[in-house]
Amino acid sequence: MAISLQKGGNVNLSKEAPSLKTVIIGLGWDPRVTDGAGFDLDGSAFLLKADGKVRSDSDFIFYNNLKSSDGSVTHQGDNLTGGGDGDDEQLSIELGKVPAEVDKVAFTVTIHEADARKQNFGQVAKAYIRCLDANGNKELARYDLTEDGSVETAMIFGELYRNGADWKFRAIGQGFKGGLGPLARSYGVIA
Amino acid sequence: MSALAKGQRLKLADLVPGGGQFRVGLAARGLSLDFACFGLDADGKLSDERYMVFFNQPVSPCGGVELCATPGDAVGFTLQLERLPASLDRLVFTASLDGDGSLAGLETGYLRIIDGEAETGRYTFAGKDFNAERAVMLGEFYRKEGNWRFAANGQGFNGGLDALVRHFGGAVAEPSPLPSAPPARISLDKRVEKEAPHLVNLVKQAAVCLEKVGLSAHRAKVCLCLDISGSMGELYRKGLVQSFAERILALGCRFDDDGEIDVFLFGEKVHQPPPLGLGNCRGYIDDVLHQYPLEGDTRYGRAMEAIRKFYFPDTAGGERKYPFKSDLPVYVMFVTDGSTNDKSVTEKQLRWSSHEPIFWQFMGIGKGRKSKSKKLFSFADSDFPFLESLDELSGRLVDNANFFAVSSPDEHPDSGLYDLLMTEYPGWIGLARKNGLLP
Repeated sequence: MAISLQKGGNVNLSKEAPSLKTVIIGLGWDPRVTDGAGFDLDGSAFLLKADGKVRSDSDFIFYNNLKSSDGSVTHQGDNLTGGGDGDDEQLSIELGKVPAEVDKVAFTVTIHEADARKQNFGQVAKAYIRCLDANGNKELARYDLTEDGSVETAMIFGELYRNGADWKFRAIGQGFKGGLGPLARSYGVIA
Repeated sequence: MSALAKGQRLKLADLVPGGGQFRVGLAARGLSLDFACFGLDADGKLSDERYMVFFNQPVSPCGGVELCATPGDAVGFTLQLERLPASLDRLVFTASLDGDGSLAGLETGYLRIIDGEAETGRYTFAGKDFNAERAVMLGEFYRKEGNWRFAANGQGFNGGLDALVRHFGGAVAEPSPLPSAPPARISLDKRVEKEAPHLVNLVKQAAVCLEKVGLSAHRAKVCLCLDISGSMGELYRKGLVQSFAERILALGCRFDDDGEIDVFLFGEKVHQPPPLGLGNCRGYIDDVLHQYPLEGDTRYGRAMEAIRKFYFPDTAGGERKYPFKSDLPVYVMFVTDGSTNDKSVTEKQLRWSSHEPIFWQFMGIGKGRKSKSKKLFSFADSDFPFLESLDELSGRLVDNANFFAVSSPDEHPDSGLYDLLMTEYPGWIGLARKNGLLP
């Protein structure tokens, strides 16, 4: 049984799955049922040092940069509508390949063209983030954000972080003012 | 009192600290709306139709929802949530339009929450929040982990109250048979079958889309304006412009009964070839291009001037300061793959034409940086910054233009394309009527 996290909660993945090598981060939301522009949500990842910043722009993994230069984090590609069963977007993290100076990997979701389409997370139904063990696809932890999302257009859903030799996952559910660009810059991305 | 933003969620206790009975007041200006409250089960369905509370059914069986008069509002409801059966999970407040147009024609409206005599929260909405919606969910009270919460929603359906009731799983009275098509309409459908059978399906797709936005019986002139600058060459050679033109002709066959659309070509100069019709549509673009080869410049403004001159000859394409009314609006499908060299002329044309019953639908064909032409503006420049700015241009009587980008003219399936073409046009019709451009 996967652990259901509340906002701020954390779980030690290395204890939940001692043989864990590759983590799949699944992001999901329901497609829009009302009329108007669809919701196009974009999952991104940031490889961060202990000071909370990226080492370089290539540590920003998003739809135009699907793989980190060290090969540790791979974005499986963009889903434009939220349709279909299962996760809408997935990222895989090979824990053994994550460079030692990377202290945590943050996962964010932003609403594409939120301002133009007048959309925010309060209108997106059933948003969640979950962690799976890639070996067997067993769900380790899950965090349902629906009630934590409101007028934000960008949110930090959760993060993987080192705890000694272990990897832990924290449910964050924190909104961010601005779109993907400002969010990336807040993590030290320069482009 | 707190202002509630669309999408905002909060605990009911923040709005009604003492709990118990409270009231909801609703009102709108600019359009006459019908307000209702739907009580839904945990699946979001109206499992008991007695929980649709509105003027014909003013109180729910439990008495937990009841129409009342709240001073200053169009409609008020008294809510006693503790009376609701446990099977009821959500109370959704809706507004729907009875009559023509869409909610884009609204001036403003609100849903407010009143605790005792004090207003404690207000969600304000306006016509600019909507496109072609004819019924919307404004806000809802819902149970979450034993507590009631409130969410300002502001989303809805182009299909009006029927679509909303269907969304809630309710039964809609059998729709009255559609008004029978006028004779001209029938004969045109026959002409399509006979003269251009390959368009029959397209015309049907266009009809389905137009019905969704309530424009089944709408009449308009359709005009296709094509960029013939050199960079468009490959799109022409591959036949992509020809097939796109046929999709617009199919739309024209729904909007107009003569089975043809006007065509303008622009590069350095502007040309008006013979209209594209059912009889000449095969190979039309090749023929036209043979006569008017590709040119080495791009000037939107000149093309817009020529189009305005053609439909509204009185100002000869020049300045217009006051509303000009005509029975038949013009829908211009404007296709380009690059920026223009006469930006200030283009802006003037767009401003002047905002006083005329003409709507400009711009489509930019961009180099595919990403499928579905999605761009991260902060990291990569858009191919069409100018067209994007036109979409928001100030100094216009009404917003008379829309813009979208595609990586290729055939990127969207037919139905998807027609939906895109009808994103802002239905709302513009309402604005055009309100401002005296259309009857």
